Amino acid sequence: MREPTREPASDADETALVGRAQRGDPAAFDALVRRHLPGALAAAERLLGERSDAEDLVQEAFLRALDRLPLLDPGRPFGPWFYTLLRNLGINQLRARKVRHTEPETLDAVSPDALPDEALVRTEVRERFDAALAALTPRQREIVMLFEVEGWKGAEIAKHLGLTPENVRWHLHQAKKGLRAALAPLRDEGDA
Amino acid sequence: MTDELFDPTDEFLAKDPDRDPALGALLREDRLRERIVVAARRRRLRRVDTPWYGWVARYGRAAVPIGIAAALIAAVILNRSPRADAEFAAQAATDLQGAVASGSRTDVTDALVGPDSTEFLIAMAVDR
Repeated sequence: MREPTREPASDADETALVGRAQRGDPAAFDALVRRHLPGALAAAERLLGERSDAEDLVQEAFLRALDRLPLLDPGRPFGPWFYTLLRNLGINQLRARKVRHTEPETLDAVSPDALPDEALVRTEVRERFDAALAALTPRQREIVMLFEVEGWKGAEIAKHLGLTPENVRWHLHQAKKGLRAALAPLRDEGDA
Repeated sequence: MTDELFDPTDEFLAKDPDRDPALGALLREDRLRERIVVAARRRRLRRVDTPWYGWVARYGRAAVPIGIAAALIAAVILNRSPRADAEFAAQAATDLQGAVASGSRTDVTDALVGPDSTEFLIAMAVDR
């Protein structure tokens, strides 16, 4: 079972995280990834259009950031530095694909600095969601991943795991109940 | 997550539930985060544990031009040395001839094996 780490969200704490990551602390880098992933993914998706391309870009940007982290001035905030890196990599990819893009500045609109309240809500929901996900059994997690992420049908999952389709749907029902509860604040906000 | 007992006759188990886009997006995000974290750890390990052949593989292409440049520099230096040796020998021969012509045994000895004091260094420095 994974235990999601609660990381504080202030700038001072982020500076401390960057310092720890620069000294080679893997947990600190993981926390930075956790904090900036949603915004980075949204930004990359806006820039590149395709979800899978956006995921590859975000991964590359984080790994590049890891390589260049020793060059980051400890007093400088991680977010803007990382988003610049992400944007430059994305623009390079677009150039390589010879696809014309028109709105690189829209990246600023999804950075955590531009929308602190939304970022905070997302972070809180994310933490709750991670806790709910960690509470699932490995089988339930696998089933919900195959169904919601990979797009498999219940019968396909049942065949793959050697279960009955009804059993798979029951596991799915149980798993989604917990995960949906974690997402409730986000849904309430959307309904309002 | 086992607060309900499994009953295969339950109506909701007869067909797949609807997919949940918000849930799917968060799960994809979670999977991507794990991918990044694993890749970052691998990269850190690679950085720490790179064997000699790893460095060769990484910098092999740069090593060839660097080697060629080093060879060229070495060739230039080695080409200069014989000429410097020849110049030194010619100077020594001239000094010896001068010493013999002067008729002084001390001068001849000094030209052959060097003087017995360090004054010649000062004299040479002043002369030059």
